[in-house]
Amino acid sequence: MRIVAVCGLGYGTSVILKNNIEKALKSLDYEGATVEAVGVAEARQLGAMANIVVTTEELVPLLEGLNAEIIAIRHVIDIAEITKALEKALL
Amino acid sequence: MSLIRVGVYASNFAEAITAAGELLVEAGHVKPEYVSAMVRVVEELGPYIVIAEGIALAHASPGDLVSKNSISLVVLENAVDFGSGKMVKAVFAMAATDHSAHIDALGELATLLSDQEFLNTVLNASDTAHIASRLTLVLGE
Repeated sequence: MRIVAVCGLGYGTSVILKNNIEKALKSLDYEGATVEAVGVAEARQLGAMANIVVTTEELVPLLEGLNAEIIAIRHVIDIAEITKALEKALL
Repeated sequence: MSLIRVGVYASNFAEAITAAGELLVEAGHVKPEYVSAMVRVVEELGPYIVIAEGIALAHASPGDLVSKNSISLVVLENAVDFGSGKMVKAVFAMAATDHSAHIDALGELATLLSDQEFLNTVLNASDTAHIASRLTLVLGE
């Protein structure tokens, strides 16, 4: 399972998102997933190999056409929101 | 603590980000061009930097415009719209010399902001000393 956290530049927002995805996976007892933080441009390439792309609502239109399941998060700080979305996608 | 300012007036997101960025410029941590780059990110990609209710984390790409890893904070007098009706009351501006720099501070900030009580403290801060003590680990010296 390859999860990609995407923000505009691949730094800042996506790093917080990556941290919180890892915390969410832990609380779901989900093992064997890798999580990377990347920017939109990189995501368009990497996304082809990712299973799940997690990003913020505003960036979803920029990621259209990717094969991966795209999860849109309102606030990347919100671990509860991320956990709920991942639970739905993974379990 | 010169990297924190409260009661700042801004009429739009560009002014809000610029106010936070100028603290980094004044401290000598970034070049002025870094501040306009942070504004451009939101102009081009929208308000995705609103990481929590009322809180934006402004930044541009790590690199040459940054001489020292740092984070500043301005708390606005009035919330401003960052786009899509996302109202922001406090702006953190982050600068890093490279992609791997400052990850720990970012994690620390994320942990702090996931605490609703701390979030409220920042959003309603009326003096810098009050929040400075909680942000020591994030802002560095």
